Amino acid sequence: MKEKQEKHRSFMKDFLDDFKMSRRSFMKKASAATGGAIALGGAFTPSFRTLAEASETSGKGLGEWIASTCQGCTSWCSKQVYVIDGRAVKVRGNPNSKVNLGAGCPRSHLGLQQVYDPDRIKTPMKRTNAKKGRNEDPKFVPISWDEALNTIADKIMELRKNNETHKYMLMRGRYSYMRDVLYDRMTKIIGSPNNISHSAICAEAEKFGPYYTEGYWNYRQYDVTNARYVLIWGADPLAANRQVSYYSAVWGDVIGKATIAVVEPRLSATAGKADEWLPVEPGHDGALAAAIAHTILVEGLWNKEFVGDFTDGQNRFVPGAVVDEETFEEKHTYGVVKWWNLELKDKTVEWAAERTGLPVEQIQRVALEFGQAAPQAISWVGGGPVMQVRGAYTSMICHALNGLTGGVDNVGGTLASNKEYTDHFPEPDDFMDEIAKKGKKHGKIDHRGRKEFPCLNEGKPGSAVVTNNAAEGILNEDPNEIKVAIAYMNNFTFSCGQPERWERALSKIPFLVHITTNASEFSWFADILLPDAHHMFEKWGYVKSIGNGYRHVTIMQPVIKPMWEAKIDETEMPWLIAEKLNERGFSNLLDHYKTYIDPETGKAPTNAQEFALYALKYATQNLWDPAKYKGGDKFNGWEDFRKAGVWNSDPYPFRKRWSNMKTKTKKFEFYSETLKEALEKHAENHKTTVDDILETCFYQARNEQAFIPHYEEPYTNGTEAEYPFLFVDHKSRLNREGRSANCPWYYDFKDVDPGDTVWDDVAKINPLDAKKIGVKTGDAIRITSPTGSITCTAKMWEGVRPGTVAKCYGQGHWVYGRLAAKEFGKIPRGGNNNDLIPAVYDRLSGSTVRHAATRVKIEKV
Amino acid sequence: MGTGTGCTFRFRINEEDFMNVEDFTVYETARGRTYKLLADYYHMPDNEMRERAISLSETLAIVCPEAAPYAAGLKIGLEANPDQLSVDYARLFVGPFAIAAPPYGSVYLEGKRQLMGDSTQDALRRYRAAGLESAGDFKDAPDHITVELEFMSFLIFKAIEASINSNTEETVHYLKKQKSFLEDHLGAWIFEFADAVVKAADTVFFQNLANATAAFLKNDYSSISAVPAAGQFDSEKLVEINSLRV
Repeated sequence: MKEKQEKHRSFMKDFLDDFKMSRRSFMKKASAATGGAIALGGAFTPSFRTLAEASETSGKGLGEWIASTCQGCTSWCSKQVYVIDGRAVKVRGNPNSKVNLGAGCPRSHLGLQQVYDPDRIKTPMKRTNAKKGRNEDPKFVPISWDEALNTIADKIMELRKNNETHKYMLMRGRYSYMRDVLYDRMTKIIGSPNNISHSAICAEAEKFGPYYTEGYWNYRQYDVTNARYVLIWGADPLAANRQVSYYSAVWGDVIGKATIAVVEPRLSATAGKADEWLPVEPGHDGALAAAIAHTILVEGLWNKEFVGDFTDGQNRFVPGAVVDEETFEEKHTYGVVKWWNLELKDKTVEWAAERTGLPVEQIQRVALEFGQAAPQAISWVGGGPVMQVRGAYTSMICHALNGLTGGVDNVGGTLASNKEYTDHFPEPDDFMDEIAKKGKKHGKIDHRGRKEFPCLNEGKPGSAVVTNNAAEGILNEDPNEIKVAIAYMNNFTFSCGQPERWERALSKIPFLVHITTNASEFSWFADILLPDAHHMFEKWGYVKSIGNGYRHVTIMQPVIKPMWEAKIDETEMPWLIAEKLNERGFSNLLDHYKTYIDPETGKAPTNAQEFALYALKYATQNLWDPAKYKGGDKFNGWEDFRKAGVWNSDPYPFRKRWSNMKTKTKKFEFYSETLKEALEKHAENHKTTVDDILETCFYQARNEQAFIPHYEEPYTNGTEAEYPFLFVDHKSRLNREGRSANCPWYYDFKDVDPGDTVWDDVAKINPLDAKKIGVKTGDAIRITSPTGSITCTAKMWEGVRPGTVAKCYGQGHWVYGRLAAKEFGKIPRGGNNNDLIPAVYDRLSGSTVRHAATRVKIEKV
Repeated sequence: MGTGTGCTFRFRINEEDFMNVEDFTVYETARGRTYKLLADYYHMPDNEMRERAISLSETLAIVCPEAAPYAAGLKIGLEANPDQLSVDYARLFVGPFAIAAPPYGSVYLEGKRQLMGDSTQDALRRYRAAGLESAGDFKDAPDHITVELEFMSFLIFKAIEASINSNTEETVHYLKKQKSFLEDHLGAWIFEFADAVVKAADTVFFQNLANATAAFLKNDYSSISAVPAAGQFDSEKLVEINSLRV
């Protein structure tokens, strides 16, 4: 022992000699001032706040693929995340999904840069600057979960105490199907009618056509691998529409078998690989569809098996001629002759060419080849032609082509959703007290159902949301003021047309809570921010989706420990609020949530984490519990299902819906008795006529035309003299929605969007136009519409129709993160298309308009 | 990551032998405490900030007299309104919008504004090699500045413990670990970070904190160069040759 000490002393002496040389100042200071008197008391028992002794299990270094789901767009693909040492490092398609077939797209990889974004909201925060406005820095400071939840609960209790629970509002952006816990049940049990979804800024008008022809209010799936003709209207399935991963995976095969035609004013990713690009004059898609329908009928190409035929087999569809309805015997459709007489008889190819700006020969060729491919022909309706002021009828006429070809519900055609067996959460009724019941009866803040907003979701007037109009409701306190609002995973101050209205509306709400991953333009106006779990890596939930003739229910699970203080928006947070309300004497919400029992153990949840898991198991029990098996994939229990991560339905039952559709006549309606009933009901509600309703809502149809698929001229803001260009908005293959704006890869790879440039936000102008206005690639330009202006960079590109200017949506953030904004809080990176787009609506569906919405002018700056 | 809370480590020290390597012990203790005090300052502002400033003045007077003005500046800076300090702290290190000075090694070393990268994993590996992991109730990334500063403090105390227990081999082992952790991690990004803080801070306090941190770390580089066979340190060169830097 002694020897060891001596040796050490000797070594340390040598060492310290060197040491002293480099620490001369220390030795001087130490000997002169403090000597050896640095007290060691406590110094040898330092308390570490960030480190702990390692547990035996940590750091094995073995990775594992864990199933989850990507919600980078609305494809909702089943995924697997490679997790090593608690860190997510890779994402791939879940091979267990029959919808995605293991395929992926760039968005899922961007998820890694989202979950590990250093600019994420890390902890609950509160605003310390009471003033609200674009130029008011909120000066957020971190607070504890406890403080945040207490504040929220106090505000809700105040509303309940004063019998003004209708002044509570819940706004929802991207959701999973756990949504009803927060969106529906909590809002109802508190006692408010004001749960406002984002759906109307997505693509509700796309659902309008299918519903009022075949009784199906939803997005469709397309049997592309069996199709011989795929006619796509303003959709870009290889980049930005539903099931991007699936369509990307099979498209090579599809191209080989089918003719592909894309109708869109700019050359999309899909158009770039198509046989035909039809750069239509924006807003005139309905004219093209009418001419195609006209041609199919005139040429006798309609599908006789589905539509039927003239009783004597003689085609009386002669251009300009009225046909006697009695001469035609329909099979699975209703009103084809009415449709011809009221709309199609004069809609010749030449007539359409004048309106669409497309060559007669091309229209003729597409119409014939499309008709000849029947029934293996698809008319694929995207957001482009329908998210317009008169888009509801364009949605009908473009979709109605599927009725003529018999492609509806058919092999190689357009398909509805397969059956799935998830369950609703427990009903809230028994937990709604008198205050809640009374509160819920008030009118909604978005004005749906008023004369000027028919919003005919599934045939019911006033049943579809008018998301963007909620700003007007808040601003005008119509029907009442909003005092307390909670919003999650939305950014209406960026994602809605004329977003400046939302800035003023949010400034007016005295208490606003925003739940999100990245603080956005919406968060800027919040009083409390809550850090949200990232859907793919940190959340329990599920979504359902269709494609490839299947439906899958795919789960999201916390594959890593949540970063920072993040909690799950749709389950953990409402539970925590419910606990706080319970502490304040209002137990109804917590009592309700306790009925979400774990199907495996029969136990009620006792905390937020248990609740998040039990709620998911509850909703999906029919899929994984062998005792409850109803169809599709079979599992041995929850754990088996969790590991697979996805349940697949049975294959698509083709033609089962023929003459069994959810329309009034059960047929595919070319004359929509279903729409007629809905419109008449709405007119009756307002003691007026259908024509008056249509006039109020800016549609051109009158009389019988109101009930058939037909062409209407576009309704566009601005005059051609002052604003020479039509503005074309389109989506990126890197972010159909938002949330990629602070990812470096988004900018690094921006040129995967045809015509776009890395690390820039460009407006694509046809070189002929560019020359006329003296602009060239790289010039800084200002684009101005009647409702706003943005600055960005000019790009000369042949892929846009002359007379239009196309710009990808997604950039132009003035906050959202260090990369997203050029100068944070002040100067946006690029321009937000919505600053140009007016707050106008397709009022029959409630949709917010983003296409053919406005004219613009371009100036060099 | 662990499930426990941050913990208190008890080092086994033979009191009799303590004075044998007094100079070393005194100096190293001051170093270890400086790292720990700085680490505490990069947590959310609390009501121990004033007391901490006094302690930091004492330890910096020993290990880095050059930083004395900054230590004095910290005290002055603390006279600011506490809310102002919280707002500035959030803006610099927490968010919510765009943190001005991300306090994470990976942001600088990997240059992608993406956390939990390979460099983070390397830091975690080193904590584990030293028998540590992120505390369960610590919710931030393992290469957050507070963790890296605390880890240095831990390694220093381990060296002191070994030295006092006359374990030369272990003393040198822990000194070398400190050196390589500074080279590969903390020292390779702290100056860039401190620059960002100084540029963006609205308060005198955080400017001085960043300056004090940078001055101390720079000085500490040269100190650690006395580790046997360590060669001469050149802090700028270290940043360049860092193998984890992408």
